[in-house]
Amino acid sequence: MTPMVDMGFLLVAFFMIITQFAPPDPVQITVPASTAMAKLPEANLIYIMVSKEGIIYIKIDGKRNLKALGQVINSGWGLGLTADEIDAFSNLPGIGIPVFGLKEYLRLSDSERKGIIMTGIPAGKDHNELGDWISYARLSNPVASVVIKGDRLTPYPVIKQIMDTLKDIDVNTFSLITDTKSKTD
Amino acid sequence: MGEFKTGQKSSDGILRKNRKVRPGVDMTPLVDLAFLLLTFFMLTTTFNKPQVMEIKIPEKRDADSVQPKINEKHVLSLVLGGSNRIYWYIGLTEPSVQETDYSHEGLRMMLLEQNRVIDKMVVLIKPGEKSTYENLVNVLDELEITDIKRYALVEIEEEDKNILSKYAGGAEI
Repeated sequence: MTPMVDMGFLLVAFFMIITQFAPPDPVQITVPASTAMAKLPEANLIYIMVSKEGIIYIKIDGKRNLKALGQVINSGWGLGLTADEIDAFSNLPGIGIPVFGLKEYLRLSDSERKGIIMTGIPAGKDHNELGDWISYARLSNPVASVVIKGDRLTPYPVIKQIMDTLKDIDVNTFSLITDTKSKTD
Repeated sequence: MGEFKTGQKSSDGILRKNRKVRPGVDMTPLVDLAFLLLTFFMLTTTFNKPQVMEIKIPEKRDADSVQPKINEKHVLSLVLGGSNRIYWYIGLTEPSVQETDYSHEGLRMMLLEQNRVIDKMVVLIKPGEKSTYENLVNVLDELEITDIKRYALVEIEEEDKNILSKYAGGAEI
């Protein structure tokens, strides 16, 4: 039996090492399918997530990047966050609320936060926080690339708002996350 | 769990040393655990990373910059409507509006055929208010598949609305 156990543990070790526990998304998103073959980069990503209701979230991968962003927005927007609140910020799965409520939101406990309904990051013409978020995220991590993860059923006007915002802040290259499909289906 | 057999009582009740039975540990629970972990990690592992479609949008223009002019006969307008409908027409002067869908026989055949007929074709994608993100991704994907390099994402103008209002099938935009 020893060889079998050896084999078993070898496989366990293999799967343990290659498994990455992806942080949960702030919202359930079903992405559209395409035949695009390019792969998503491993790290340094700024996700703009859009739910099918058109609610916009920001997600930054990596706790360290998120913490750096926390410090940048704290001074950029003058939020007056404490070190604890920046810590809480670095643990968020995603941000989907306007900036004025952010300090309040970070003071809540994890379970209380679950009860808050996300209203999304404003990206309209007259009140746009999305552009600032992306600019700050790129300031805190200059090598980060922008990816859009939108739901299949997101209404086009929301996507247009996002693209216009990106154009305004001179982010002219970005990627859309899609599922795979073959050319024949 | 593990039991050590150091001796054995013989039938006459006297404990005798038995050299033939070696001490051993029952490995079954260990193996059970190993396989449980194995199954868990196998199920949680995802091998394929998500695919991405790269988009490059033109830089923002100055108000006084001049847009290049193109012959309207080379322009294929693709208006994405609600309920997964696509309206298309060539040029802007009294074009005949036709409708298609996102299937292979629809959009892809139409693009291939028009690309063959029209020299230096430029596709203008005009998504309407009622279209979805998936519609846009599908069109961009079909343009990639049919190898059409000259396309742009633009807004629906008044002219387009006028053209579509004359469409007999009734356009949903």
